[in-house]
This record gives sequence, structure tokens and C-alpha cells, in this order.
Amino acid sequence: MAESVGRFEQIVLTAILSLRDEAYGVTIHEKAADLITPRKISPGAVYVTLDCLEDQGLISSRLADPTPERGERSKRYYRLEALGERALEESAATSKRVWEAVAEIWGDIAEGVGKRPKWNPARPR
Amino acid sequence: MESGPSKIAEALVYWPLPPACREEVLGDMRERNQNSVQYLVEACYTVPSVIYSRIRRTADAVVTLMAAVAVYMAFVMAARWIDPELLFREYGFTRIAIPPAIFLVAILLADAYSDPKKRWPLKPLFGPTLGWLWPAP
Repeated sequence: MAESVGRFEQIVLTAILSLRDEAYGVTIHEKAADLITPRKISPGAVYVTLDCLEDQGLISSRLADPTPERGERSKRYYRLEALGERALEESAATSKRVWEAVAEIWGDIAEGVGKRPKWNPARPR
Repeated sequence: MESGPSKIAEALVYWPLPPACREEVLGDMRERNQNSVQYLVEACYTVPSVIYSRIRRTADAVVTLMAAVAVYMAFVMAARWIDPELLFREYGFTRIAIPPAIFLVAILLADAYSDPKKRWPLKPLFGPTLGWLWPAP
């Protein structure tokens, strides 16, 4: 069974997956911020999560050559490992099941959370 | 034209960052840089997280706990040997915990700030040697 991941880890893994060969600190933070909109995330939280994921063996990293536009500093590129892909797959499957269960009760929430019918159970007399 | 942050702002961020992740974090911050104020505000959010993450990666909870107990016991034994009264004064045992706590924080920070590119082969011997020499005078 693959390592279970939390919601923020799932977002960072998704960002790395979608960025493919261009996944490094700045782009991962931007993509994760897009995915988590309207909430904001700090770059520090992304670095901490990347380190955790690397320690768990879900992702790996390599330091690229320094570039002049970054003041001769290197980028650290990240890529998803097989374990990470499995963890993301399981996590996405769980999210899908949750989404389907909610959609069954509230209807299609893709129209907007605000438009869902209000929960109004009958009160006991 | 140079579009990076000011040299002072960059120097302020350079030193608190652990060397192991200095390169990529400084590069990323330079890429996101808009002005010195934004750069320093971002540093206030980013640097503590990076230091915390580095400590979490380099420190082992069990080893740290064992070191804490060993150092604390050493101080208690030394106090008992030199001045037993010290232990029975108000907050005696708590006051004795202060030097070991400082020592532990120093160890954690020394590990977090060690540069993986500059490995010193005699480093494992340095701590115990210092530990033996310190109380000698």
C-alpha cells in the first residue's frame, strides 16, 4: 500500500506532476497557489512540504547549473517517484469518491458551493 | 540592468539560511523579487520555515532525547559532586536544565547549519573531545 498523503501534500504532488521537467521552487509554489485558490500559501510551506515528501521517498530532487538571471544560483528541480505517483493516485481516487458521495446528496457542486441546497433536517417535535 | 534585490537585503537573508538549501532558496527568492521590502517580507515568512525544515531533517528525535537526558544527568551529577546545596535551592533542578538546553539547541543548530559540501572527516571526534576538554580546567 502506498504512503498516504495529506491535502497540501496532494496539491504539491499534483503541481510537480503537471509541471513535469519544469518543477522547481518558484513554479511549484505558483502552481500550488493556483490549485488552492482562493487561499494563499507561503513559499516556506512549500519548501517544508517538498522536504517531507523527499524524506518519504515520494519525490526526488537534483540541483541544476547556476543561471545568471537568478544571480548565479542554481534551481532545485523535483520529480515524482513511482511511490509518489502511487500515493497521488490513491489520494486522487479517495478525493473522487468523496466528491461523488457529496455530489449524490447536494447535486453537482461544480456549479458552485454557494448554490447547493441548504441542509435543513426536520426537527423532532 | 541588475534586477535582483539590494546587496544588503540579500546579505540579511543569506546568513540565516542553512547552507544546504541556501542556493535554491536564494535563487527562488531572487526570481520572485519585486522590490527590497517585498523581498524582506517574503524572507520573514520563508526563512523560519526553511530552518525548521532543515532541523527536522537533520535531527533525530530519539538521539536528541538521549543526548538531553545524558547531558542533564551529567550536570546534575556534577552539581551533586561540587555543591549539593545547589540542587535543593529553589528551582535547583530547573536551573540546572538551562545549560543542557542551550547545549542541545547549539547541537541542533550546528547540525542544521553544517554544509553537506564541506564534510570534515574528524567532525565526529570534535564534539566528544570538546566535551572532555571543557570541564578539565
